[in-house]
Amino acid sequence: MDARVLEADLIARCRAVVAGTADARDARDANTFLLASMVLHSRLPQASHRLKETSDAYFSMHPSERVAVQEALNRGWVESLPRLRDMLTVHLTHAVG
Amino acid sequence: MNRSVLLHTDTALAQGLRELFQQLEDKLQLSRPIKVYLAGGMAVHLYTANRVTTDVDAEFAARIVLPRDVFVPIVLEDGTEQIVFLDTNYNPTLGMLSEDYLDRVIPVDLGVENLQIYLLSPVDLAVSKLARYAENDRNDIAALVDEGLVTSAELQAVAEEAASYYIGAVNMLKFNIRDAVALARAVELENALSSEDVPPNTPAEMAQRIAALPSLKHLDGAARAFGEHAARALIDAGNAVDWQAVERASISESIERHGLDAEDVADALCLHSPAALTRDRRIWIRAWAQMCANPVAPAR
Repeated sequence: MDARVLEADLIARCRAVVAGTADARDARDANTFLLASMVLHSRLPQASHRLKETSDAYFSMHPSERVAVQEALNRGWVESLPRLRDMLTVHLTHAVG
Repeated sequence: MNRSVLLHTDTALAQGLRELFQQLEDKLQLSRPIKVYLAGGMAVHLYTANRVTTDVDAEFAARIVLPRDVFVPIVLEDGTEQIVFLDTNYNPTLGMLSEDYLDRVIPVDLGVENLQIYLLSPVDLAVSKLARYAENDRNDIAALVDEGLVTSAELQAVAEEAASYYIGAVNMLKFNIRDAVALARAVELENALSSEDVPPNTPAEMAQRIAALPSLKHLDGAARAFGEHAARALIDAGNAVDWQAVERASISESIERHGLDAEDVADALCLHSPAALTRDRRIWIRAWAQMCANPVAPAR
């Protein structure tokens, strides 16, 4: 999959979490949801809170799977923090139920 | 606009900012000093300490290639984990700024050798919030005014000057300037109240105000208008009155139809409305009255 497909998938996953219809499936989900919650903290606090809760729920069951921010970037899970924030802001602004 | 400014450089966020710039300096391997102008929520935080934003809006006075992986994980005072990161998409030309903003910047010493960091002045920072004017922008402007760093008159003067050469949707911008100046004025008026003028925010005070509503028909002006709107709302909604709607209707009638003074109208509602027991609500009432008194002419 190319970068845009991966990004679209990440955004869709975040939207589903914020809408309350998805949980973290794996370490990639949980770590990217945690990053997403951090970059959205001031812009979309409700969405940020839901993403953090979902991430925390996964890490409470799999504590060893949490990775550092640098590692999440190195693994290509997130391309750029400003871009992640901007894309999620656009797609999640009206998504909180 | 010259006033002494205390910068909050000892918070967890400010320390994260310092680390971020140190990291950036190291990655860029700078051989000469570069000026950096800081805007956005991080600048507001350094002035007020009450805003938590982790993206850093910075303008560089040199052409540089920004590395994408400049960020600092931090733990805020409340234990929350955050990431301070450089917003590589930030561009000052997309917002609204006075042409003279660089003449008013304020140096901030974060202990970084080759990045000379300056903050947009409080008034320019407030003006930079006007093009978007989202909720956090409104809160930032209110915080800067609340700290005494910007006055409504300064905001209006610099915003109107900046708008005169702004290219973009200027009609919306006019509304934003009007609304922001109204908000700033409302914060100033609320701050000017003496402690005896601030009502207790208690259920007893609310009940007392509701009980007193029928007597407002014996008064004049906005108090009477509020009493009439409130009486109708109580009949229609009972205990579920939308007091904000009642306040809005009373303000509109008093100012737009009867031409009453905006500050007098707001004072009357702050004195009589059962919902005007919080500072935020009184600021909303005062700002709404100021907005009603200053309609914006539509663009031709």
